[in-house]
Amino acid sequence: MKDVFRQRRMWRPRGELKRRYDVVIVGGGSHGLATAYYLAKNHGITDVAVLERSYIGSGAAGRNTTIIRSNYRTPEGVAFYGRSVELYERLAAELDFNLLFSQHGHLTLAHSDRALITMTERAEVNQLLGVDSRVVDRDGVAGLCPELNLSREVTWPIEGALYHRRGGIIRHDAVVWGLARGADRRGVEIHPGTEVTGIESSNGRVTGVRTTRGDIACDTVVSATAGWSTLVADLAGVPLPITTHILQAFVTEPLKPFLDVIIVSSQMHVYISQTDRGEILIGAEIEPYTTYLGTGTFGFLEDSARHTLELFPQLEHAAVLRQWTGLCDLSPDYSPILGVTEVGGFLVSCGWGTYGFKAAPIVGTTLAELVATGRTPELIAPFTLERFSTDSLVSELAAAAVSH
Amino acid sequence: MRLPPRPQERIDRSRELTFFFEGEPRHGFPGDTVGSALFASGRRVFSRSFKYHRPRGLLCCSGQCPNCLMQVDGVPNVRVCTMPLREGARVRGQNVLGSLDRDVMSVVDKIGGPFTPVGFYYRTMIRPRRAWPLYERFLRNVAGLGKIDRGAGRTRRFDTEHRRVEVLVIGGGRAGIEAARAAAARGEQVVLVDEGLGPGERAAGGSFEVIAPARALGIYEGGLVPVDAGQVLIRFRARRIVVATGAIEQPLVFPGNDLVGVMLPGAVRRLTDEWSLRPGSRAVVIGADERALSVVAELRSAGTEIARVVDLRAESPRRIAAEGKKGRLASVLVDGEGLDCDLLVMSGGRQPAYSLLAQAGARIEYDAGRGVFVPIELPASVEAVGAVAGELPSGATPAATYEGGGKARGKCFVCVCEDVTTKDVRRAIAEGFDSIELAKRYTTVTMGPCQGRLCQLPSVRLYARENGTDEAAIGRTTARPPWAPVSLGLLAGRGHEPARRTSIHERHVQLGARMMWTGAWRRVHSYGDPAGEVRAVHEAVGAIDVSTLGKILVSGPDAAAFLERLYPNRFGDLRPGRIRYSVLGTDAGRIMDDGTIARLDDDRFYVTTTSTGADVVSEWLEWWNAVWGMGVEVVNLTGALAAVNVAGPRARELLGRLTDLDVSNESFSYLDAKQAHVAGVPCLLLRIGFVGELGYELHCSSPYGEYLWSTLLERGADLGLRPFGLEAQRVLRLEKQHILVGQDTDSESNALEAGMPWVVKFDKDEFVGKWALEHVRERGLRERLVGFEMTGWTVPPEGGQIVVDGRPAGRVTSARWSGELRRAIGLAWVPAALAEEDAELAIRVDGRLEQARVRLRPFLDPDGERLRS
Amino acid sequence: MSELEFLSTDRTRTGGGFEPVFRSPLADALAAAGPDVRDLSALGKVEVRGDVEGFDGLASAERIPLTPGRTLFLCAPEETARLREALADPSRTVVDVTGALAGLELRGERLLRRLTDLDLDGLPAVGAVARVTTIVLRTGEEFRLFFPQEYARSMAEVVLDAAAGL
Repeated sequence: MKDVFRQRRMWRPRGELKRRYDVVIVGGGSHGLATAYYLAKNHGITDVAVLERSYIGSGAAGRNTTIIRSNYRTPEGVAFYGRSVELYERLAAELDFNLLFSQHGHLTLAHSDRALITMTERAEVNQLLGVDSRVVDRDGVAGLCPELNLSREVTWPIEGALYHRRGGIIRHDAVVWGLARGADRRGVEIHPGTEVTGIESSNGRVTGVRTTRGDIACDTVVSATAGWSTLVADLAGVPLPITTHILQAFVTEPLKPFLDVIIVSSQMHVYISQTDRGEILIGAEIEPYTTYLGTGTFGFLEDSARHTLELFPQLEHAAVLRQWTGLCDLSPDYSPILGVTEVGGFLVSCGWGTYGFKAAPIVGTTLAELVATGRTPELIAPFTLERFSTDSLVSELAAAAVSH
Repeated sequence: MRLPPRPQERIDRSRELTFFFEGEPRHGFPGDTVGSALFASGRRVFSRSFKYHRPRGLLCCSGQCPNCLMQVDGVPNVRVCTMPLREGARVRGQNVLGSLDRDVMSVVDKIGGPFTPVGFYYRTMIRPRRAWPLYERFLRNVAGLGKIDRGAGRTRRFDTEHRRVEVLVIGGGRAGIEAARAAAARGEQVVLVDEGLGPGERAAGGSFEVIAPARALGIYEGGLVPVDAGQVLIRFRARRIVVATGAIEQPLVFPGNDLVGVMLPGAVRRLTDEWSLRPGSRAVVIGADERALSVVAELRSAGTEIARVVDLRAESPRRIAAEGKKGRLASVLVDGEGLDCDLLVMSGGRQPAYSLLAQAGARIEYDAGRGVFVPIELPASVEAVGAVAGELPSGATPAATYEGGGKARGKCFVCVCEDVTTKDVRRAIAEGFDSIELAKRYTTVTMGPCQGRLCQLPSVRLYARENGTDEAAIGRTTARPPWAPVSLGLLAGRGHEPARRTSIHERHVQLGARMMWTGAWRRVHSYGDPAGEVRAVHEAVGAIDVSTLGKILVSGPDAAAFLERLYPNRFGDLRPGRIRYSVLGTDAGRIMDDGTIARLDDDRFYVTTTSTGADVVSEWLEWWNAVWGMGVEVVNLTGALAAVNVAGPRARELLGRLTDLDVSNESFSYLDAKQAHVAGVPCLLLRIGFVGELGYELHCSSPYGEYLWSTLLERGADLGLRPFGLEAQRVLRLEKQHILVGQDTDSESNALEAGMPWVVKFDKDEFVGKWALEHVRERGLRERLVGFEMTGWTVPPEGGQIVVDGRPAGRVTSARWSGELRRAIGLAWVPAALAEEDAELAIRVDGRLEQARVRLRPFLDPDGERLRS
Repeated sequence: MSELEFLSTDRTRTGGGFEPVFRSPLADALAAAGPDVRDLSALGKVEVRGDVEGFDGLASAERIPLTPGRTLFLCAPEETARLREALADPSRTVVDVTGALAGLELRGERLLRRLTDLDLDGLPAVGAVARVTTIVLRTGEEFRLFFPQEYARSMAEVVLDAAAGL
């Protein structure tokens, strides 16, 4: 309790850049900070600089819709995200920072029998791998979310759903700040307002980075830059099979508790949750076009509103307070690209599409282990960049068009 | 409580409106808002604050601040100060436990200060973890403002209207009207929208249209300006957008600045001028510009006594504090001088309301001279006029905060929406949240209902002072659209989703069919008896509406070469009048779609696709046609043609009754395509067999689909013809191990592993995806799509898992009970090692493992004798 | 080359106990509509890919350019065969789309504004009407819409609903 009142700095003020670090992490988001934190905590590697172009958590980490879940389709994905959820569940205590992880369950609606097949497949894979996930019928949906409109007189009647009890939402900024504090207290340097402008290598190995605040020598560079991944990898001369799209979301004015579970409808490209602040948070699928433009569109608001009201007609008078966009780095198979690249010492965490935030702690632990030991942990071996050359894709695609 | 009639008043005193506040009748006049009528009835406390549940009264009286949010007719979070009064309106307070005047939750204000510092929830309730759900339940319940009626449905009609104008003026103040008038005088077509009740007489004589009350929600992509006009959302596209949104009076930051009785000058002006109300009996006025200070005259005319006027241009008090009793203003301290009063009019100057301009792409910079942010570098076709453009009378820049001094220990609010105090901001900075964006996220300043209208500038000023720098260096947070809160109901509009129906749809409905969606199509699941429908096809004849199949005409001298290059199968040697099946591959060799292709003549091919694949395949063909620049035309005929598949041992007999064509097996063989009249309708007849029995697909012009269908049913009745739906079709095709793309395949499936190596002609020079399939061939097959039959009678779930060593190793993609075979059968992806006849599979069903055996050949009629008969 | 008779609506044969019935896709949907809404689905419609610059084969047919290489011709139902023949030319692809497109005539700019964001002063144009890709033509206050026939009922529902809201 004492910490509540004591005014204590979360992290040191930004200092001068050193000329050399063992490890440079590009990107001060949830993945970069998690990697830094676990490097220090699990491996005692603290000569680490996290370079962030803007402020920490300014990119996808602070713009995502904060859903945490592990009910994926592929065994590789389920094992990976399953471990991530476990880490998230313990993370608040570990960081001594309340992340407001609200595990009220996650319902992915099926509006067709074809969709139910996909749900069944996911539930079966999940159960075999020990993840709490099952298909529920219409009555089951009604029991879990009585507010949903289960009428058949709608465009897309609800036929059932995939129910994932441990799915939930978390306070994304808290994750960023908690990890930043944890990393900082262990000696990692965090440098906001520091943009990487070049990545130096010689003989196929990384030797350093150039930044807007001077050059740094280092042996290892980890790029955890989500929407800017292809641009940063370009600096190292590593081509990535990634396209960058925007994803849009909005919140309504705060309302008294109305909805505990998270509702996802792939068919209608919408997912809906209520934050602990009372806002109804609604997101869509990524836009089909590629762009870095961060301005939200009005058509998104209209479509999402229409779809939301099909599911929750009671929200007719809920008012949209603000909308925003975030960048998504989409890989061809909707699975991430993690670990080593053709340039020695240049590691990536990218290709996340809409799943990145869900994986922050597991990315941090596994990438830290890779940096420390030089060996790719088994859990992330299926996600190497190399899979695109060996035709070993890990397809989450059939799982759904919308995937939160 | 009203003053005698005043010249500018908007109320119509000849008529009284009755409404209800907390169930009690209250009265007002036409022209009143709910807020003004409540004020007239003596109400001063309008809401309770977000966190501390402090009583709050009218502050801005212009729909900006959160202080008058109430529930009106079940609608939460209504700004009653701008909501026109309606007869019978039912108004209630919100976010209170008890009543507005006695809110039990206000205990948080008394004891909560020290217990609820900024971000307290991040530091508490961490352990024990199992207690968190309880804490969380509490947190969730105290958060939020208005209530949603869980059982309510949609109640109002909202429409969307699209309008194009030459000039759209946003804002009906002096500058907006002048701009509208000038444009109209030049002969331009002008519409002016105003969020208030309209510019009224000021706009008189102008030859332009006025829409009010109507709020512009933003300047979106392509210059789209959506306007909330109540029940109609008007989407404006204008050649020129004139933004005249004015400026927003900014509160001063001092202890007690949120007490009931503290108002902005605009609120005072509206209460006195528009509704003839006296805002208080004794007032202190503190202002930084002429506009603020000039309310003194209005107040005097309304009979309010002026206790003291503090002109911040002339004097610079160091200490200001307001003190109250039970949340109501009782006195003001200015540099130690105590002044009893029940009204404090304060203003720290006016901030241009630039949000629309910023969204449109204008640059916003801090102007140190005027002490406000101003828009510069406007995007093309957007103009700013009046106060929003920075045309403001000079004023003083107030201090970032005023200390209370002495006994004054009241809370000092930077943000009234979120109850954030100066102490919270200082703490955030001290903790390391030193950039404005980080601090916004931590303290939630600017994230409440006002979206920064009243707190952006004060918080930036405070940040600058605390960090020892200037406002320009601090910058501002990005203002997010929409500019004004807008209801989901209005955004949704009428909410129709386009649906595709075949030309035979109404007949299916008459036959009692159960309909289902496949993509945007409405299709028949069954006519109530899928098993009987299957039987009819096996034993007599059935008819299914397959109009939804994609149908594409590929014509031109290069048509054969084009298909040869696109599809893995060979089409160059296909003779006119013959049909061949193929899958269609992506450039990575994955299965994208499948269907039959009939060669009509040398230069024309008739390509069919799956029902959901029609549009994608059509675009895919057009794409490659453009890339290769071949002499080919691609015409999507999907909706142009109806199609009926007639299948079963008696299909030939039925067809023979309807056409002059020689339908004998010799002259109309399996995989022949012919044109002929059927029942008088010109048809393309394809002899194919997706469902495994002798069958003909009849394609005809859509307007005759219903006639053809009815005639088939009529003339086939005595043969035992039954219409069948998708469910029966699924069973029938499964008995033949015919795949359904998208169900039996996913985005990574290829034709080799899907068990169709015969459609891939590696000896062709080139076809899309060839390299990838060659790679698959070289690396060897890893998994295979195979048929299986269950040892027992259980039908496994589609999506069920093949389990090897306790781990998922494959999946069931299709499974059905076959009445014909008296067995449960299906298709599954299995590891290549298990893809052998009779191999044993363990399939997980309800948590148990059930046995199945691999069957590599069709379950029924493996040699296709029925098809060819 | 054989003619693709099955694409045309005017090549049916009556006799031998068969009497084919042309049924407009809007027949049911417009049953309850007022006189301001007219069904144009039976009009002859022929799409041409290729050059029609010098074409003057059928003066009474209305010509609607869709894209530089694509033109839609409208004519009275009984003239469709003549139009097809007149257009036939090895340099063009001629497709009878009479059965493919439903047609709807409406009155009133205000109603159209509730249905489409097309510039109503810049017609003819192709764009979304009630979220369905539609060819929109204008003569004064009269508007004609041509759209894929499978959306006919959906479109009619939206149009009638929008009219009810005015």
